[in-house]
Order: sequence, then structure tokens, then C-alpha cells
Amino acid sequence: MAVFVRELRRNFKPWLIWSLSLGGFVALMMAIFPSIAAQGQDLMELLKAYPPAMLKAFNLDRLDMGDVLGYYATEGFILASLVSAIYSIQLASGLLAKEESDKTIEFLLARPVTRTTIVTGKAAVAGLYIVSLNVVQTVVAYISFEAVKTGPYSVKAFLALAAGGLLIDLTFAALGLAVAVFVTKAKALYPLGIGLVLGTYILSVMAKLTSKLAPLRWLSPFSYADTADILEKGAIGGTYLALFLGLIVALTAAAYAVYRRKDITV
Amino acid sequence: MNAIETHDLTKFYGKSRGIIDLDLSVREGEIFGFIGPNGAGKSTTIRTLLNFIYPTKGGASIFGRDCVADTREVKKLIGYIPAEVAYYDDMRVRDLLAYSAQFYPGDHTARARELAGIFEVELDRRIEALSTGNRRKVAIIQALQHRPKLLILDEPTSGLDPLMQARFFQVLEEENKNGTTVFFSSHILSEVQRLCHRVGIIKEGRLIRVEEVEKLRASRYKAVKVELATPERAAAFVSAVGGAGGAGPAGDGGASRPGAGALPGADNLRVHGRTVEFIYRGKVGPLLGHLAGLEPENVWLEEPSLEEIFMRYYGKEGN
Repeated sequence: MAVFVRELRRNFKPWLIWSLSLGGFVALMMAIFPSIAAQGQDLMELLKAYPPAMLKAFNLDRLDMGDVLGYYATEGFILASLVSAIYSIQLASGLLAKEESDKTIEFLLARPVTRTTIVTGKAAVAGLYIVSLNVVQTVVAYISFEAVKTGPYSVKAFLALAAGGLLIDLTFAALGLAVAVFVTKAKALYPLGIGLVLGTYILSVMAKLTSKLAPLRWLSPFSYADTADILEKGAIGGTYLALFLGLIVALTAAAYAVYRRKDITV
Repeated sequence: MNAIETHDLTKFYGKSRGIIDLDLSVREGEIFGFIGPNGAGKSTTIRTLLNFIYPTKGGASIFGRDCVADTREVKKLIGYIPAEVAYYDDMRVRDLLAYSAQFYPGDHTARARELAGIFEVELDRRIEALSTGNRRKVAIIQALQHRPKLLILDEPTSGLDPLMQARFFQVLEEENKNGTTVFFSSHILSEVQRLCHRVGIIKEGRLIRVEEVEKLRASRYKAVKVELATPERAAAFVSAVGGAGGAGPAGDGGASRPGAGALPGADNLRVHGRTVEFIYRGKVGPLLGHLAGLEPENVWLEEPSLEEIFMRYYGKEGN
């Protein structure tokens, strides 16, 4: 409990800054929507000039920019997902690795506390802040939708999209924990975390370019929560949902197992 | 029940040696000095006891509880001062002590305040602004405040000025009088000599000897210094004695004729011009007889420091 409370306090300010920035960004993106919607037809003509592969890569062939949810899914949501995924992997890996990187782990391990309790306390803080960040993003998006919408939209599809964003973040958090068990230098973790997020995002884009590259989608959480898929179905596909949950559980379990058994020297 | 007990405790980091077959027992209530040069395996032993690292072979227990399986229970009984103090930079001293205390049952603020007074630590200072010495003092307080039954100290005095070191030793002695066992690792023999009841010597990962400090010092070791008439005489004395040097304790039978050749029990001879220094183990009578035969200008007989005694172990087994 002491570890949980301490980390909750230490990570509050960064969470607040990320939340304000992300909320502000989503609100700003949605504030532009009316002018985009007004040019609806012109914009569609303009998009036709782009190569079809490129439209496919960014789901512009399947999403309607004139619709509030379609617009959010192509613009704000993708960038917000990237940003919150980077936050998630940094938060989770930093929580676990910082003690070793700063050599404070000897202090902690000399207290009567098991390593399982340490990982649980830190993982709980990561989970809590990641869920909170997603709630902020979703609430801001919902309020903006209501303010700028030009017609009805599917709230169910919107919530499925939000759930997809959360699952992406939790997957990267679990990956962050698993990576931080092996890589304990904070300096190495920053570029690694950003690299993993951007790298898997690029894989998800490449997977849509040609059918040859399509199998790449299994390697990227961004593909599991593909915006066009979710908006068409109004839900996350069953296989993808199972993959999300399986990855989150497996990566977290691996982090626990290794952390409990490893030699910790600073 | 022993405070610390290890059996065949072995740790390899990959292929590199940490400690090998360490059989150590520290009795409840004693101050035990754990002595060895850097890299001998002192910190490895301590890190294994605290389960920062897992043993490759063998095991250890503290007050009868297994250091790996019952590590949480074990740590309730321990106060630990690390060799290198690293704390959370965003905290003040007060926050760190409170954070540490949260892990143990009971309220320890009064004791923390008392210790802060003894060591002159300002509780409102930020950790990152503290000097090495002040960090060390905070480490002492966090180890002592919850009144542990066993103190594990890894080179605890580095960075402390002599005044604070004296206060620290005084506090350790008080704690020990109240029943606290102290396991004190150091490469500085003189500080251990002052404080400890027994010492264990570790070298290249192996425990090579455990000895009562009293016995070591009161044993028939003498530090001898003789000033002779000429450097030639000094050299002659050394070459005569040197051949038989370290052959063991001097016999009682007066085997050595005064002034002539071998002096059994003399060891670690060093010449500086006309003076010769050496460690002597054995009865004083034969020594004095031998020295008288040399017609010395001056003679000093002193209690040797542990350092000088241990030079034997390190010096010999190293070659």
C-alpha cells in the first residue's frame, strides 16, 4: 500500500499535464469539425486526387469525414491514441525501472515487502492513471461531439472506439512492465518506448497497404482496434479482443515472474 | 538460535565469482565484523541475506527463517545500511523516514527525531541537497528507527567525519547492549577492532577464518620493533630469521640460542635502515632472550593491530 500511495502521488502531476494536453488537443480537433463538415463535398473531391493505397492506409476510403464520429476516428482519435500509448508505456516501464535506474531499489527491497507487492503497487498506479487518461479523453470527445455534431451518431460505436483506445494503452503498459524487467536504465527506456509505439503504428499502416503485408496486422495493437473496423461493426472484433486481453495478461504475468526471480543489483 | 546462519552459501554472477561455500554463523547479541578487501564478496553475502540476489547454491537463514522463502518476515527484523546510499531525490529527510517507517508496525517518529538529534540531521532538508556524509546519517537513522533485532551494515562509516563516527559507534554499542545483533562489514580493520566481538575474514569469496577479537589481540601476538647498532646488523638479523620466519609459534624448549640465527614465531619482517619490525607469535621469554643477544639500541613491544595480524593471512595465502 505504501508503494501504491507513494507512486500515486509522485505520478499525479505528469498525469495532470498529459490529461490537460490530450483533452485540449481533442477539444481543438473537434472545434475544427464544423468547418470541415461545411466543405464536405469539396473535401471528398480533393481526397479522390490522392493515391488509393494512401487513402486505404489511413482508412479514408471507409470513413466519412463529414460525420462527426468518422472525422474523430480519422483525425483526433489516431493521434490521441499514439500520444496516450506513449504515455502508457513510459509510465509503466518508468514505474518499475526507475527504482533500479536511481538505485533506490535497495532501499525498497530492504523493507518487509515482497516483490509481488512492489510490482502490484506500481502496476495498479499505471492502470489507474491510464484508465483516468482515457476517461478524460472520452469525456472531452463526447462533450465536443454534442457541441459540434451535424447529425446523429452511434454512441455504441463511439464507446467501442474508446474501449479500443484503452485496450491499446493497457497493452503498451503491460509491454512496458515486461520490457522494464530487462531494461532498467531510464535513458534507454525512453527511446525504446517511443520506438515500440511508433514502430507498431507504422506496422498497422503498412498492413493496410497491400494484401501481401496484411499479416503484419497481428503484430500491432493499433490494428486490433482499427478505427474503420470498429465503426462499421460498432464493436471490437472477437479475435482482436481476445488478443488484447491475452497480451495484457501474458505480458503482465511475464513481468511478475521475471521480477520475482531476478537478481537485483545496482 | 543464531542471528545469521549460512550453509554452503554460493553465488556466481554468470561465471564470475561472488562467494563460495560460505558457512557463517553470527550469534544472537554479538557484534560481528565481516572483514575483507574490496571485491572479496562482502556485499554479495549481504545482498544474498537480504534476497536482492538469489544464491546459486546453499542457503541462509536469519533468526531461523529462510532468507529466500521468508524474506518478508526476515526483513521485519532487519535494519540495513547500504554501502552506497541512494534515496528518492524528490523527498525531504522527514518524508523518507516516514516512508520507511510505513513498512513496519508501530509509530517510530519519536525515535527518528531522537536519532536526528544525535546525528545532527535536519529533517526538512531535501535529500538531493544532502552531502555524502549527511546521506549516510539519514541511512543510519532509517536503519535504526524501527528498532530492528539485527543490523546489517555494509561499510557504514564511509563519508562520516570522526566525531559522527564516534557517535555512531556509541549508538551501536547501546543498541547492542539492548540485545541488537550487529553484522558489520568493513575493509578497515581498526574500526572493527574497536567494536566487534568476533570477526570473520573473507577473501576471494571464501570465509577463511573466524576469530574472537579478544583472543586475537590478547593472543601471544606482539608487534616488535628493534633498533640495532648498524644497518648491516639489521640485515643480518633479518636474513637469519627470515629463513625460518612464520614457522609457527615458538616452542617452549628454548630451541633458539640467543643472538644466533632462527627466531621461531617471527613473521612479516620489515627493515628500515637500522630498525627491524616484525610480528612475533609465541612466549615473550625466548623473544627477549634473542633480542638481548643482538645488543639492540632500542626495543618496542606493542599489541599489534588486527591489520598486522591479518597481513599474515592475506600476505601468505595471496602468494
